[in-house]
Amino acid sequence: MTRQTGTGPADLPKGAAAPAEGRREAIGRLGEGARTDVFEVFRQEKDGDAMRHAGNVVAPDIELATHYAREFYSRRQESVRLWVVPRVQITDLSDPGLLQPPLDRSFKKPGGYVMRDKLEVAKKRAAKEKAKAKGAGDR
Amino acid sequence: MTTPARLPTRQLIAPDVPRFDTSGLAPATRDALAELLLTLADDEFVAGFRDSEWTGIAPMLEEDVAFSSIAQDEIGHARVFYEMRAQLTGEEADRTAYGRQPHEYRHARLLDHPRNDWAYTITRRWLYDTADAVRLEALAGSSFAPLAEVVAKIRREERYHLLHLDTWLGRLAGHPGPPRDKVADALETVLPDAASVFAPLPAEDRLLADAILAAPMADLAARWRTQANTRLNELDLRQIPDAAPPADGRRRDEAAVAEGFRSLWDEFTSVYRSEEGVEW
Repeated sequence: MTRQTGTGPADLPKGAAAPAEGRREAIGRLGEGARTDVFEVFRQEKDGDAMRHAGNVVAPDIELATHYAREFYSRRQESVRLWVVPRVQITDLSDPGLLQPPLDRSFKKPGGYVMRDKLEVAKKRAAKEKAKAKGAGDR
Repeated sequence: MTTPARLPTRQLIAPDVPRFDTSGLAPATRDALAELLLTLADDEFVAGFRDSEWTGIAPMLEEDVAFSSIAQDEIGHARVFYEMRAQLTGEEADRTAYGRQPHEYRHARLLDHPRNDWAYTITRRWLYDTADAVRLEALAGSSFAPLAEVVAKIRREERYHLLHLDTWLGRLAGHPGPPRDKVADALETVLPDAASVFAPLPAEDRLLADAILAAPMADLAARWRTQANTRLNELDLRQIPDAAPPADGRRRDEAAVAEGFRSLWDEFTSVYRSEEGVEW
């Protein structure tokens, strides 16, 4: 789950797919032919952190989108880096046929092996060897 | 039983404003510095208030948030300058900001013009911010260290404001038809007042002699004209004339109060005047 900060007005409803062709919206008040795109914004809270999805902004081009991303996701100095990506550039893969195959795949998960007893033995052995090494060192 | 001491709420100087000792300053220097700080503060205060008029009515939601944030930045800069001045004059920053009569404000005439439409706002603000950038550059090396210190911080924010305004100016001017026409019309109206940001200061000689100001306002005006005209030329827009008189030759403290400012003053002082002397 990504933490959402700010209030991007064009947030996708939960579970909705990003439209393959991006969302172009006409804004009537800007005059006929005025178009805006949705830009997804990712932010890094501090150096070394992963980039996390912050939200999105609607803007007529990447330049203004960058200005708006700064205001929405870093105006209170909460980010050290932003990535601004036109939504049209994002490839959406949500096909259940590809991501959720119908056959049993439990053998690909690292579960199902009984490790408890083996682990217990290994731990005891490791502890014994450690004690022996320590005793040798004291002498 | 002792009552806890009450902090003097109005005299507090915010922690980001440098505190300084004024005892070493000659009275003439102190007065000249106070006057300079007042022009800087009033410019930012009026520009910020004008910007705030777009809150809720900007062309797009995103722009609304961005422009409102810029408005807050500008009023924040004004606060810093007012509070620095307060240390020189002993007058509370709030009183200076809200408690004067219209003719006592020292902002540039360029900022008297009402906000009008979006293209007009962008055009005027771009002219002001390009001029302000040149002025701040000249103050960054001021011999008065506390001023140089805050100017360095303020320039970091102003750089972004100018980028934002310049993006918009380029967009509007580059779009034939109403957007470009409106920018051209706005330039025609405001250009005669644009150089007013560099109107001579009453004690400018003193500021220059003390190296508080690096160059005379007239020199800064010439520097700004060259820079701004390069960009205007790129956009194939009207040039700032060489002879643009700083506020028709009058000093800032002599310029008459414009009608556009009087109505603005009525509004931004209305709450303060509603109950004068009260502690908020």
